[in-house]
Amino acid sequence: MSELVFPALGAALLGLGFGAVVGRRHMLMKIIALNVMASGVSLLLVTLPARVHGTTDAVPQAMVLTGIVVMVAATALALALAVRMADAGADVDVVQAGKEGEQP
Amino acid sequence: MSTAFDVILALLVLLLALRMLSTRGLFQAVILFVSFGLALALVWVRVGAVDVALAEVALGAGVTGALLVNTLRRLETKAPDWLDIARYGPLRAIVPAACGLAAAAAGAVAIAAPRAEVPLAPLVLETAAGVGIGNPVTAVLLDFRGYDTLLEIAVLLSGLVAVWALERGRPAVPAPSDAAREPVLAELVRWIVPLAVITAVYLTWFGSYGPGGAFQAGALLAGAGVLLLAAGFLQPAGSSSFVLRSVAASGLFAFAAAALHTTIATGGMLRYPAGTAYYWMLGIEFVLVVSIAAILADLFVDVPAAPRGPAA
Repeated sequence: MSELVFPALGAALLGLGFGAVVGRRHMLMKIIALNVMASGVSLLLVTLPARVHGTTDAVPQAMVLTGIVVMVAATALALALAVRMADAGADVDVVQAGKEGEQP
Repeated sequence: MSTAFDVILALLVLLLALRMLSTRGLFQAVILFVSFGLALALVWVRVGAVDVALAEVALGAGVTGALLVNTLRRLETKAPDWLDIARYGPLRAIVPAACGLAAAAAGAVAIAAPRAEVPLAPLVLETAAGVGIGNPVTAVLLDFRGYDTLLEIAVLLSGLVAVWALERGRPAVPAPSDAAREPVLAELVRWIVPLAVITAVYLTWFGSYGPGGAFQAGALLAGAGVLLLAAGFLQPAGSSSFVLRSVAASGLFAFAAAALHTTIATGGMLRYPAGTAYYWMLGIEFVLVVSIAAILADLFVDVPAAPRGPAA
């Protein structure tokens, strides 16, 4: 049962992150929430095998390492896109931007 | 006793995440994000994944946190949003809550799913020891799954090129001159950067024996580079700089060249000749460190902000 603590944390982070991606309106918060989701998945990947074997598995660790690096690149790109959006005059508040888009 | 510690640690991470995702202030959210990364690193250490802990601190909390702070400054956003339940009524909270529960349920299914019969972990440990690499994670990254790491470097480089394309046409902010340089920051940089360089070299070399490796060291060097940029010791090189482009691409080229050579020499891509795996990996890693550092440091745009006047 004690090995379920961190996998449960991973699932909880996944849920929290996704809820925030949907619920928060600001672009930056959505990007942060995506990072939280990625952390949740990483936790699930690394801590689940320990349930079965009792040791740490090196392959998911390498996958998560790769995942963290890719997340950094994706976050940097997403942030550059958000800045570009703001430059072009779009509202960084997604709901406001949607309302502006509806106007003919 | 150890389970109690696990639960407390998990609660810490959860509370940080909750506070971060529900707070009104964006800067507060970013600072909480860095704390969240550090607490998560503690979880990684607790589980025994020390390499991941190093990467989480260096890249997850460090580079991503710094990128967020920098973007916050560039966006100059004043009014944060807020899923204002008091204003819009509780119905507005249903959709995010439902999505959150669905995602958490997916996680629960992953936990409850039956496990595979063939465990990879002991196999990896045996083979890594046979190849002479003390750290199985580095062995997986650069030897057994070397192709994935090659693609990972390509992703990093593509991200940089995409950010360059998005920043095209924006005027570059010049670094502050000697007179305008902040003295405390300058002194801090003079102490930190040499230490960072030495630690990065050590981390890269030690990655073959214990926790460490090219990515963590590259992130450390990138942090040193950003500090140099912020303090004004380094002028930001434009995306058209040949030196910058060469250094950024050198990691991918070195890795691809190694893949090509091993394909011709041994018949298998990135299958190193017997007994030489350690030297191949170390060589590739050292080229990777500089390349990753250049890529990550260059993701920070407009770092040397013009010094604000007294009216601001």
